Amino acid sequence: MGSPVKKIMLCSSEKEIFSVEEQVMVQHSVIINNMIEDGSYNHEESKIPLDCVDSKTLKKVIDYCTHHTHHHNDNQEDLEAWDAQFLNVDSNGLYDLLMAANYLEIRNLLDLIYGTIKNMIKGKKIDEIRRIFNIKDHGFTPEEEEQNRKEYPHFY
Amino acid sequence: MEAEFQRRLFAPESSPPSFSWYTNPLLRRPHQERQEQRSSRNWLHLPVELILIIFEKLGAIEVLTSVQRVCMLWRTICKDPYTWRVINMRVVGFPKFMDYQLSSLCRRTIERSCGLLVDISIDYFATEDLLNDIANFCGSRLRRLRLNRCYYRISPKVLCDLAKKCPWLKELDITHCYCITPSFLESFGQACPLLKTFKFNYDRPLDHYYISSRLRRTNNEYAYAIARSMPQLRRLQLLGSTLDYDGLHAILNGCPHLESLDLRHCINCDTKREIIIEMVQGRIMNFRLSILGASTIDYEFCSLLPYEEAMRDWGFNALVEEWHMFQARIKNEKISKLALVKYEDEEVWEDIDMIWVTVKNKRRHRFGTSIGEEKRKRKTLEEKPSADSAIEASEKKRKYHESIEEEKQDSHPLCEVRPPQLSPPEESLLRLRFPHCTQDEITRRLRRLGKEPTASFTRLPTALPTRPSLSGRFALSRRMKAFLARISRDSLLMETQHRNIIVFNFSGYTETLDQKSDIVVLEDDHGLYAIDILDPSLLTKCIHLTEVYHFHDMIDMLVGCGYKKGTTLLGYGYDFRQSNRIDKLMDGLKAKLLLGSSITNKSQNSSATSCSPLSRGSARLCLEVLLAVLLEDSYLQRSLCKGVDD
Repeated sequence: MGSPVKKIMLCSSEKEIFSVEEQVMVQHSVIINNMIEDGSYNHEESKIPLDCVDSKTLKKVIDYCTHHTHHHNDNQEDLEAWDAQFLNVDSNGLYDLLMAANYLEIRNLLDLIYGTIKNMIKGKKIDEIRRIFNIKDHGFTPEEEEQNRKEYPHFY
Repeated sequence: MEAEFQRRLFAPESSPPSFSWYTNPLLRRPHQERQEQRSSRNWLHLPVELILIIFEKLGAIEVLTSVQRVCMLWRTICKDPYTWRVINMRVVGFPKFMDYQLSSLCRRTIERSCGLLVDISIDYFATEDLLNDIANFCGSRLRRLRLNRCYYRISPKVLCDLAKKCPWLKELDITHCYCITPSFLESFGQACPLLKTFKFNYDRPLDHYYISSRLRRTNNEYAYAIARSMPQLRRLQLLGSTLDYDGLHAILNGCPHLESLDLRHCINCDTKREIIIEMVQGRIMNFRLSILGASTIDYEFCSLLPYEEAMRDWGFNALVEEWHMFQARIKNEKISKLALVKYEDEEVWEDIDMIWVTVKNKRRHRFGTSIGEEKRKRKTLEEKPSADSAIEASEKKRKYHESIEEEKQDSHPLCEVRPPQLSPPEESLLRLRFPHCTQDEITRRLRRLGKEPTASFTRLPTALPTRPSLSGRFALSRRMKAFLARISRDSLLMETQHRNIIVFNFSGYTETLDQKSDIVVLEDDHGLYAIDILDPSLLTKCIHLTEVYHFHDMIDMLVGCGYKKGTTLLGYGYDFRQSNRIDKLMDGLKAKLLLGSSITNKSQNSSATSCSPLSRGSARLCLEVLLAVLLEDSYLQRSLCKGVDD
């Protein structure tokens, strides 16, 4: 434990560089864990380019991983409260987070986001779902849409 | 998309990355595309894989009702058979509105899956037609089936048919299906040999009073069925089952690969917790004990089981106290059972008591004055030492009985032909059938049958025991003691044709059993004779008086299964009065077991044929002791389950 904490560099799509404890990312992200294990990452020179994650999202993801590494002994309620606070973002932010978590393969975060999306859809009317997810072009022909609305009025 | 994939795969990289990166190129879209999308953040451009996961989490009902009408892309995904490999139609809590025809909805999804279905979860709306559809459409691929809260709606037969069509089934969850019978479980287990996970949880409505009545009602049949038919189980969940220590023991023996066992709220199972922990330690990684009030937070069906709710309502502390009292009482009962082993014998003796009366009357009638002569001859023969080996002894005895038979034929020609009047035994049989009748009633019944009560009957009223009434367990025990104590030196040797030789005394005073007189259990028919029917007379067989059947049905069943008398099926009779000569008895049993063992070994150890010595009554104890001595022999271990069935 005497050795200094190993750090890795993450580079966002805006070329902003984030320095994170290696342990934090290895523990959560499957893809980074694999990289470190097969030796394709060089601690001295290389940085990991995360081209499809912007700085804001990457910061959030690193927040999540750090918190869950350092506070995993906290009681469940506190963690859940923190998670709820963490995911209190608009649908665009959620979309970015989902893509980032999927990209980095962070299982816990993915489950959390899936749960949130599920709650966003569950029990909602179709129009509400369209509004939430910003779906403007639903792709049905007007006749189909009309028929559906007639047949299943309670879903709209 | 495929073209894109090809392009990315074969395009020369301008600047090769310093690490291997793209494990799934489809998921990792190029930078430029993402830049374009970011402006709009179109949820429709979510990778299909992620949409599928979200749909799966939403459940089939939600997807089919509203989600598939949100947009064209989602509808296309919903029409893809691949989407419906997993159908999750769980209804959590009470459904908001019941106007979905859930059953027909489910049928539609099954049709959409085009036989790709591997995992289906259905709730209370399962119908028999639906199950038939599942079996016919996609039984060949089905890996996981969950049928929850079907209560009494589905007949075991339909499930059996389903099981036969799903040979790959690995996980079965039939929580809250109360129509399941043990025999169904067994056939299901046989039809699905790969079954790894089995969940069969109960929570019957339970209130304050129900706990106490339920405590005494142990039902190990389900546990035995599981142990017999599902040897590959890894995970087993039996919340609120009524199994007890025996059932658990059977499961642990029958399912050697078990990794996780959940026995919360199996309230009968609590008495020997230390033993259970000892048994389970090191074998099962995840074991949930049956402690009262155990948390059910991770149990999906309800946060509180009815017991817990009952606990809340009725005052937890009072109930726990009562619970402990019950446990203590049961424990004491069990200890007394182990120490004395008297209750079981009493029940056997109750029957023997009856039969003795039957036989005595018959005897009198048939042999008249000759009993005395026979007795003398028999005594001289019986006193010969016959401890060499059980086989020799049985040989000798057979010869001896043959000689007696011959003698009988010589001296009593009447013996062959049944005497024309059967009234005395018939009276006794009436007694057997209508135990609570007074003598007047019996007389009336006999008259109705056209028979007059005989003198012998009226002379013996005191010797006729009546069946014990409901309060009679302890009364019986006293009566039995008196009955046993009457065994004495100048006893009359009575033999129930080829059954036990019962030493009996008419004189009425009590005396200890004489060292000289010998109690022998007949070894005919490879020892099965003595345990087959307690009164193997022709009359009993003719009228199918099942009350005196002892192991008859079991023997029939085993023979029907392919066991052969004398090679794979052996019996060893036991008379409880032999208990003061336990050593000799044990020798006989040992010889019998070794005989069975050697026969089995000779027949090339084929694991299908195992030798089953059937033993009666307290011989279970002997068998267990013997097994403790000879435990290294695997044959004996196998025989344990079969020999100790009583």
